[in-house]
Amino acid sequence: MLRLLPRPRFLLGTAVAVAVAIGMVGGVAGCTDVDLATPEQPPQPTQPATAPTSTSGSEGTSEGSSSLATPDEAASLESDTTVEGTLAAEPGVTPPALLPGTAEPTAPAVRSGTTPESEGPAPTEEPTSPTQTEASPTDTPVPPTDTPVPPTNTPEPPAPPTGNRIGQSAPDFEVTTVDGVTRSLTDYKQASQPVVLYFYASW
Amino acid sequence: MRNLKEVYEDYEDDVAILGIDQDPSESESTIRRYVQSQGYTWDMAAYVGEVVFGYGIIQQAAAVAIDGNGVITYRKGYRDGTISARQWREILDDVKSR
Repeated sequence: MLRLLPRPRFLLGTAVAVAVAIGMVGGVAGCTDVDLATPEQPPQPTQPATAPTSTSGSEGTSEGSSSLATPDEAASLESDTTVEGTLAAEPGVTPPALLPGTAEPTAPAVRSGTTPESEGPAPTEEPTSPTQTEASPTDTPVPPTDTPVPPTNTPEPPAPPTGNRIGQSAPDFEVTTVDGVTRSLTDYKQASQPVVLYFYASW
Repeated sequence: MRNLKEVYEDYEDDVAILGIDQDPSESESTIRRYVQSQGYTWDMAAYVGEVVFGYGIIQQAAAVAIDGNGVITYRKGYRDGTISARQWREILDDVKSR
């Protein structure tokens, strides 16, 4: 455990700094650490409620608390990781997408769920997972930034819609006169000649 | 019809007139005789249902003016009153100026 203590400090300090400055880097580091820590996490499912508070408190004085009361933190951290692991295990696919913005919280959880079997020597790294969790709350506010998409307006076509009302494009027609001449609206338009249709009967 | 005939000579070079019979029962020969007897010189076609319905013609002696771009600029039905010679000039002057 003594060995464990130094790492948490280092990891916490670096992770927080990196997370604030660069979300990506913190996420990557956290992910690697988490993998190692994961094996221990599964056994501690009971402390989910307390875990969030402990992580929040650790954020403010992460280094000092970790160094002074490592066992408690370790437990709390473990509990946190386990909670995340359980939560993350459900949406297993989502973490990779979140990595760039809020990579840290989701990534560790996923790996913890998947990797515990493969890796045994993880105990020292559990503390790192909490740092990741801590970093994640700070990171989450950042990702919401939305890229503005300016609406594009397409210019209206010059020709109005076809219809039989004033202002509309007259529907095309083609008729043959009683003298055997074919007349069509297309021909009139090609000649740019106005035309008046006059509907009547001989009676 | 007579009113249009009265002004037609002044516009026949600028505006085409295409008469379309509204009575499906009238044959081309009947129309031809009628036109000749009245001295109408503009184009006249027998009833074509798709044109009558396509232009929404539901009144007798309906006129639809279309400018050189194919846009409808005026339409009037018999229910609005017979088109007088003066009104024909207004219609033809308007559609010619578009």
